[in-house]
Amino acid sequence: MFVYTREAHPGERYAHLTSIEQKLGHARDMVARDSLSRPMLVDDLAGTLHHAYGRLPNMTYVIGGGGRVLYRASWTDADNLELVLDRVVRQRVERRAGVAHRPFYAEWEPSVVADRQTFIEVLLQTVGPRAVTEFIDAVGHSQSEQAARPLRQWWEENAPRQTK
Amino acid sequence: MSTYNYESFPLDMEEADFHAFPTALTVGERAPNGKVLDAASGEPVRLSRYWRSGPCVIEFGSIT
Repeated sequence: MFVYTREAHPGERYAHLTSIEQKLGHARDMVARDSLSRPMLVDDLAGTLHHAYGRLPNMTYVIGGGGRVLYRASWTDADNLELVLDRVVRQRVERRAGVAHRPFYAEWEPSVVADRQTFIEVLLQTVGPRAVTEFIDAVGHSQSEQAARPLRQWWEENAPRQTK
Repeated sequence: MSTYNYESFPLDMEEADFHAFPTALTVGERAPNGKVLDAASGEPVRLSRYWRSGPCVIEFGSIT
């Protein structure tokens, strides 16, 4: 299922959340935009469950049938999740067939392609120009102006005329 | 640290949350449970309803 949290990049089309009705509306927009078929669940306005799970913008968890955490990732990655779910399904099938299993513990730090340009293009389409400029400023502030430079250049060339 | 429903994306990109994530909750612990609203019906449901009958995936996020 999906748990709707807060607007990570608020802007002109999707402002920061101030009511649960607004939050429900944004969640329903996302279901329609992405044609989601899984349950869309909405956390309370204060983000109580979001805090309890670690408060990151796009985390994924797999919870076992007994209610224990089997897998947690700071970023949702379909390939990584597929590996885990294949294993979870295979374990269930084997256990039901009477094959003995013992647990082991693993940690892993995989990486993903940091395609920030595509990201800001999507932000511009979905939210509006303010979210883009705020994101570029944050990259410049928290990482380096060098990291932000290609994004600023893209913005110079692609920003809607009235926002320049 | 900014307020939870911030009006503008914070300059520090909430990096403290990313650093804290590895120990915020650990594998093997009981998953936090609580009430959420089902967006389709608007009715409250408990998260545990979804792992009662077997493993489930929970993705967190928003449209932005």
